[in-house]
Amino acid sequence: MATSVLDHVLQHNAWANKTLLEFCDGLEPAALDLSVPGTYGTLYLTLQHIVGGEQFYIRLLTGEVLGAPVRKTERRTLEDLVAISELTSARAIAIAARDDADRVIAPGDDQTTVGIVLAQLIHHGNEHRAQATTILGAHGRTTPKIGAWTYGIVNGISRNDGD
Amino acid sequence: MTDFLLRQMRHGIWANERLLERCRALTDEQLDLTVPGTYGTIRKTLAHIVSAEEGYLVRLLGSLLHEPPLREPDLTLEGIAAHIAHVTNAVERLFAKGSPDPDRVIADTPLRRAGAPRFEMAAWAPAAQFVYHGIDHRSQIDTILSTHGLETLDLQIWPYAMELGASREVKETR
Repeated sequence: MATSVLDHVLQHNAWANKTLLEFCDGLEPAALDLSVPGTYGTLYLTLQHIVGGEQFYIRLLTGEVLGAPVRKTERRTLEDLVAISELTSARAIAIAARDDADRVIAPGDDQTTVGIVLAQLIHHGNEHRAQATTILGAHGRTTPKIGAWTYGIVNGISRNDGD
Repeated sequence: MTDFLLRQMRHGIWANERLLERCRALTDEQLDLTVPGTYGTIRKTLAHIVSAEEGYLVRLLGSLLHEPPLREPDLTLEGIAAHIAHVTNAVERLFAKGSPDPDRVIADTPLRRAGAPRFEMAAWAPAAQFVYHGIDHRSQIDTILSTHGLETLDLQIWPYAMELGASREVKETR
């Protein structure tokens, strides 16, 4: 069976998180405190927010918290964040494959659907990864290539690195 | 059930349209604002989003959306609006006969310039890039607006879904 586009989008999301987190893990610790106005916060807080957000979305969808809870008040290592991201990414892909996108879920008083939460998970990751690369770029740092083109190339399923 | 990718692409169009409306309220000087680490000015970034989306759709559909094709755009806001309409039309055409096959190999694009390398790719690649690319650059415009103390927009899925009635607050009654 053909892999769905949604599966590829979620696989890209998982790969981009891991690539960005591992890239940042290779920076000197002070770099994680860099920021620029107009973004979420420091580089570290942005990374933590991406992973914490996905953990929250999976909880909305399944009621489960995967991995150690990510809290704003606790600083986890980037290695921890990679591990949590791997768990939540795998679950998101599994949900997309098996669940009904139109299934209604009701977190608190806010009713929504599986499809909307998955769409938000994808939006959220892309948006904040863009902020992370903006922070790096604004400080004259090299930025990792984390677009879908690059995902296709590193996985041997596409040869286009254009934008 | 509406295809998930179609929902994603429609969200992108919705977000571009909201951003365009926000830009209409800015002055020319504000449209030329930027910050280091982003693509460029607000205007150029929005034009780049729409131009790239046309490029992905040309590849997916295998035909130009209009003549001449849009390249390296230096667009006014009205020009951007016109191209958002082309994107909207192309997205709906892409799904008119059902969900596109993500593994269909696309051998080339009608936009390839003479002498430029030819890339083959599965259809999912430009489709996934469409979703990624728009969010990436809209986030940069958000950063530019915010950095310069200008009002930003909430372009997440949540407000889009609320607007469509696909997500809503339920008042419990006893």
